[in-house]
Amino acid sequence: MSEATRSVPNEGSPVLEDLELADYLPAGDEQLYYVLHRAMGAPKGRVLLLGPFASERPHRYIPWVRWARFLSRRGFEAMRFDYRGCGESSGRFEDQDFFSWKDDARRCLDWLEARRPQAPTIIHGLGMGALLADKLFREGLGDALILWLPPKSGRDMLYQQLQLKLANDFVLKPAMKKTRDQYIADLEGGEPVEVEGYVWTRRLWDSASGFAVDEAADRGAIDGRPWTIQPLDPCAAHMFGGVGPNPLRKEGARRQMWLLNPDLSRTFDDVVSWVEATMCRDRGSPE
Amino acid sequence: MRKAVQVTAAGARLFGTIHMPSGDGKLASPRIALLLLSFGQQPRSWIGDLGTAIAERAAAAGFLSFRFDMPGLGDSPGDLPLLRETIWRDIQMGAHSPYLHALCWELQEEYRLEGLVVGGLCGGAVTSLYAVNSSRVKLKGLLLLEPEIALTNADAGMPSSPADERLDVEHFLERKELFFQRLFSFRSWRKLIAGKADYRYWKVLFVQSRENLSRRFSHRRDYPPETNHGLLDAWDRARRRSIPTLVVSVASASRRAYYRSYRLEPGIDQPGTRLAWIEIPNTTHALLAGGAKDAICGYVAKWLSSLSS
Repeated sequence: MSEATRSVPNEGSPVLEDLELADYLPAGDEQLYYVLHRAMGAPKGRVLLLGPFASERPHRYIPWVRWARFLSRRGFEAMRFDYRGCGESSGRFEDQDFFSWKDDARRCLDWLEARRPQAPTIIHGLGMGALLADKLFREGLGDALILWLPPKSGRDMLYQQLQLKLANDFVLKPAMKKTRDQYIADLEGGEPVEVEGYVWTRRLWDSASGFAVDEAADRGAIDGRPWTIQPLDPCAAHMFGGVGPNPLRKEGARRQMWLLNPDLSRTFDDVVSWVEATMCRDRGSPE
Repeated sequence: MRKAVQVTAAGARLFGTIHMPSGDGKLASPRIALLLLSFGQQPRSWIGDLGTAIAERAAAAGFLSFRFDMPGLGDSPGDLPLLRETIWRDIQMGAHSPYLHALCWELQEEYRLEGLVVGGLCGGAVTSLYAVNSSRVKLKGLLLLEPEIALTNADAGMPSSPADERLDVEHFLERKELFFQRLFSFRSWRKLIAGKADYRYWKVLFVQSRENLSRRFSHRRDYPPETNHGLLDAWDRARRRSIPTLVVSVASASRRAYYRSYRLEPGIDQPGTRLAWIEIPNTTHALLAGGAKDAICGYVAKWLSSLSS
């Protein structure tokens, strides 16, 4: 039996759970929801977690929270938040775009960096969050950058997300079935498109064009600050990106069962090891 | 205006959100609040933020509204099983009930409430319905969105013969639907002729059809084998106590057949027991597509207002 085939107990001991703080930051007229996973004692570093796009958020939530708790247990302070118009943060989704979500991330980063005692800041993005994280990092923010499953671009990600609309159309059989390109044409023509409960606008589509990760550029470091696109094993890729079928399905099993809480500690360990090694090297510490 | 809160209930630390009533600050009902529960394994905003949207609309109508994550889900700490099917089954069997009952008690005391309207989608509706079993919950209403009456098969499916591999349907209605698909499928016929048929599927379909016919002709009124009888008991208890209830479900033939197989009457109000049942066309189980999200928010706000008047 592989390590990942067992479920993992809650990573937070009762003491660590007391270190979790949920609250709101003001963002103009809106409220930005965040959860801070504090570390015991002085943190080795502070990690800002930039989550995926709104319609992916509920499906990635459990492993994302587990990851934040893992970081806290390993001595890092982790902050995760909801973009305006999504989840617990206030605001209308249709009033937001990639730039407003980047502003949200910047607001959280400023708040996190103002905390004491000082510690290096790591920006970590998943999915759409990777695009926003990359942008912030290239603006000179943060001491290190980790990307998980970055889409090629903002538009490519939205194009992929339109699968949800097509899946609903397949079930509901509307009078006029459209392709993804036709929906994109609607957006470009200024017509809003409802996808999985969110109203997409031309503003969202237009803003997405300015966000992309160039994997080949600045390999390994930008201005001496390290960055990486961290590879995920099949189980983590499945949990964090919905990639492929259940990788733990037994051969010949009658039914497809859905994973909820597999052990992802191997991936988590790899990332923390990269951060620790990178930070120690940069600080010249023999630790 | 929202507030993040944490409540300790039945030994678990539950993370939640309060939506403060907006407008002129007056409560439509100063003593009745709305409490929404997570949808299956989803965080408390639900898919497409439907839970958030309902709570916002209720708050705009003057109702204090709460949304909470059950243990292990969303932001609340707690253990979780490896598979989704396991937690679905656990929820359907009432695993979240003790936490809900304790949470209701805490909220009633803390906010000096006369009572709570408790609701949720799918598994959240199931847990909500179990609230009728607690004398500690001052239950003023039930909001049941797409309640699941069947128990999920949480058997992980041990390796078996290759013929079993394609069996991924659970209930008779699904099998029946698949039967008609296969009837007109060239590929299915080719497999049947080549001796590569899905024997387990045909065997179970045969047994279930025989049982259905037997029930019909013997005039026995059995429930489907996967029925959650504990939940139906809670349903009956709610009706006997005339607890105001709003049920919302998808207006589709298969969903109607599903509820009818449990002797429920989708789309039909029962004023005598204060049950209102709304069906929404052109949408799916998540109640988002086809304008359902907005429609439900409107229905809930109107129904809540009718409770306080």
